[in-house]
Amino acid sequence: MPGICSVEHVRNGTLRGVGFLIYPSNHSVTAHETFHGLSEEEQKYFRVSADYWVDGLICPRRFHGWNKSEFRGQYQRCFVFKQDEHRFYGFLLHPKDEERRYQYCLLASYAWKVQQNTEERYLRQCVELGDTAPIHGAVKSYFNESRGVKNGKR
Amino acid sequence: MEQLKATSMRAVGSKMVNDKRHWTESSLSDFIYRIGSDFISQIEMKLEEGSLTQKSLAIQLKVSEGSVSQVLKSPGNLQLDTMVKYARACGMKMSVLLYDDGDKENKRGPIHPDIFRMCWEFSGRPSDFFALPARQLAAFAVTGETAMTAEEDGMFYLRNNRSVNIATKIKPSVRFGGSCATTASQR
Repeated sequence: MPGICSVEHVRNGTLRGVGFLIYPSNHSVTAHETFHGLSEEEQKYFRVSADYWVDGLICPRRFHGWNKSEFRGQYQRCFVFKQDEHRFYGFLLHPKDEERRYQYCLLASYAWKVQQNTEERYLRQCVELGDTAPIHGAVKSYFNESRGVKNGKR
Repeated sequence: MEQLKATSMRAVGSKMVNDKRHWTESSLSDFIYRIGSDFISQIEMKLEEGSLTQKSLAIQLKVSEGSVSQVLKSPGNLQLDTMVKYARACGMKMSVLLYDDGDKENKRGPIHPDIFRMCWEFSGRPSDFFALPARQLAAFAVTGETAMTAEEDGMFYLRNNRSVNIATKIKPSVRFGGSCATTASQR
């Protein structure tokens, strides 16, 4: 069963949050495991990037999505966090029914970038994962649990 | 799933507590890394605007391009003099700002300086206290003890808030006329 975990000690904002998808039986879901294998400095760089995105900063050097003019608009839900050759690919969700503006970036795959252009297969992978029923279930349960904590139910 | 839940928990004695601190609260060097990154992100934005390149920045600073690159990749090792040199080489100035966002435990992390810069720009880029819009000035606390207010006579006053009931016991202590530093020395 897939699960979700937040990026440790990175704040989730009122309008944005970021976390990792964990899916042991799916070998393409490597972001979480790889992140924890990075050096301390590399992890810090990533945490700064996550802070910036959650705060609403525009910083394409560190992260970006794809708009409708790219890849015929197929990957508008995809998102990437970048650092030198490291790439963390994921997809964007609006998981809160009570706050539709809230956006969550769920990071799934890791890639070591070897070419200049975007490797489309990672984006395709993210789109496929984003359409998977077990992942929808994991997202729903994660946000229901979070709401439970916030409301003091746990 | 238990393993997942444990990622935001830490052990305190025999209990596990949900640790909601921001990562910059882990150590002083982490906090410095973040604010160093904030500074570098501003320099990088300046470079991305296109009016300045890493090469021209290096020429102005009389250092190698590699040295500039090294500085931009080392946010945790920035010194104040280096920051000023880089800001000036970009044709900009910098301020060191203290603020209280009500987050004493640092659960939310630092606020990016661009937010302060944008607020300053939206306020018409005031260069002294006289240029601040009076309404904003009235609500502007200089320190926890002193507030600056705009009065009907058109002057600004620093008020001392040491009295318990500010609304009734507050009295003008300093008439704000000179520079901020002069006023501060009068307190």
